[in-house]
Amino acid sequence: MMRAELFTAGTRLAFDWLGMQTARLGVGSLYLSAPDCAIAQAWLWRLPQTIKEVFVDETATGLLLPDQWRITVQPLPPSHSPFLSIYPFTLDATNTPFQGEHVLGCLHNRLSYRGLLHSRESGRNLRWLRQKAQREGYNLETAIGIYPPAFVWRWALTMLAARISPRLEDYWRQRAFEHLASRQPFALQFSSILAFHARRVV
Amino acid sequence: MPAELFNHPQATLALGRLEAWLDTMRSSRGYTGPVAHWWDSCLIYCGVALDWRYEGILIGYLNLYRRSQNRRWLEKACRAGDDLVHGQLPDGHYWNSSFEHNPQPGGTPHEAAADIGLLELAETLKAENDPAWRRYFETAERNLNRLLAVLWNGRGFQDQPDNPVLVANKNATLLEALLLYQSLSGHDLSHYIHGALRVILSAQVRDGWRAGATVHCGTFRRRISFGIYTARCMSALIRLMTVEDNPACREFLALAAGYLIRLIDEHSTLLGHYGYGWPWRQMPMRWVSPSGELLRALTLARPWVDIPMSTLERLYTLCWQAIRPSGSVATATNLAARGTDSVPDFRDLLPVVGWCDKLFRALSLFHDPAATASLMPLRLPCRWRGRRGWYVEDRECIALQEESGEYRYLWRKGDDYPIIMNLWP
Repeated sequence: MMRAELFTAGTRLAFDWLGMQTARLGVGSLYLSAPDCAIAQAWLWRLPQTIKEVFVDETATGLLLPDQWRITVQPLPPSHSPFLSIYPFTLDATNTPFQGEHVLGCLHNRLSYRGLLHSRESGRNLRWLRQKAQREGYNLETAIGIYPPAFVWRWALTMLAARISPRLEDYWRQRAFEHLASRQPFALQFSSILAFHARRVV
Repeated sequence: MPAELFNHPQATLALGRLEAWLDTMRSSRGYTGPVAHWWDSCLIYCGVALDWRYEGILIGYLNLYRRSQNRRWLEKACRAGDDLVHGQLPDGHYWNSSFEHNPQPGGTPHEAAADIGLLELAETLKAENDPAWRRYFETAERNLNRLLAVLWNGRGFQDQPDNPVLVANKNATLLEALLLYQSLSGHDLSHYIHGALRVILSAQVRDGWRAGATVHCGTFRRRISFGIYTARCMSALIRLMTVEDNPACREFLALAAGYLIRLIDEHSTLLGHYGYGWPWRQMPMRWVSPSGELLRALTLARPWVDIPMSTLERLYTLCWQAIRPSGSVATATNLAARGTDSVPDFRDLLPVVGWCDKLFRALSLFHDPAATASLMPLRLPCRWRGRRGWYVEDRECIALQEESGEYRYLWRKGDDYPIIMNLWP
């Protein structure tokens, strides 16, 4: 499995986008299913102020939040069906069934330059995600691709420019980061990270 | 306090606007807002961030209180202090303290900077026999204990627990916080303070075309020197000089002041210089709101360094004139565009609480804000990724609007996230 690098611009952007979508739904509680505690904690920094209750998996322990904000973090009871579920990189290694009316998540895309470099480690792509959503009664509402081809070629130029002049390097770095994400269909196919919002079909 | 230096009536009005604008950026948990910075920008997460914005806000209000004895300013300082107390995590870090790298805790030097604000507040309250000082002091103490445990490596304070680079301005901020903590607690922290001092002194360029500049060692081969970081090193040494006279610090201040003066122009201050790359060693960007940090450093350095009054007045004037009718202050010119277009980028015009606090703190050294300042809506031409549009701001929101009228970015002040975020293709 491709490991999520928590402090890279791409992962941070994916998590921020999930936080923004969460805020738009205006919910008071959510279910967070992360592959490990570090990822769960990294996403929790994005928690909108409306959230008062976070349900997590049994494995997610020791999560930090300010005591005085009185946000409860507890394991998801078996009988409880959440309205919103968040899957930050959870689907990279598992095929966890979606839960709730709304599902937000992100995953590494095999059909990207990084996915191809790690071809034996990542098996997910946009088509797989669409099929999974359809199979489980969900519709893929929106998605963004992070590190699309438009970013990659500009980043390559940044690396080249670094050999010539720091000022030129900064110029191309800026251009690259302006293309860090994309919603274009072509970019979605070949971006390194896909972040998505799926909604249960009534 | 250099109150006698300058007191322009228009400047008091401008400061009043800036102070009122800061209030518009609050939510119930603290100061919010997007961040534009040289390193990175944080435009999606706009929620509460307990970073170095609290240093400038807290001390700015304390400056106003100390001069006027108006309890209103002290109450606002306490309100900001309470944000930090409530937002502290069980491990001692602060909620989302990483500024441009938000949202995440453990930001350097942001947490130490917030501690400086808290400790100055505690010092003020203690002097008035107000028992509330303890809660602010204990919050800062918990955080400093955490920083000492994870950042001190025996020679200085590391950039991050997993990044051993010793960055001068980050050591400077910790040095300031430790000096204040030492004075309030009575603990001897000279070992850490002198370690941090050695890091600061060793990062200064002693001669040549950028003599006096402090090099940011985290930029490695590029060896960039930034004006604002040089100014923050000066501030720390000025605070140290009030406790112990040190010839090396005196020499550092004289050289650093010379460098800062060379960065000032009519409307802004130069961001800094690359360590190599002739003929493009000068960075093409200029600071607007962060220039407050240069004004403060040069003003407070006057007892030790001869600063021409005309230079100081020029800097003071550019600082207050940068405050827009909306009360906000642009961050930079060419920060994001990087020298490619005369029309400013959206991020240039974007006001950032963690930069505007620098201007607020600096101007609060000189005079009180006017009480009757009203905030006006703002609409300025800008661009984003080559496309022309409008930067729009009023009391409720900050937005990027296309020429067609469609919004590309719309953030309602106090919210955690923008309502509209279409900055990507």
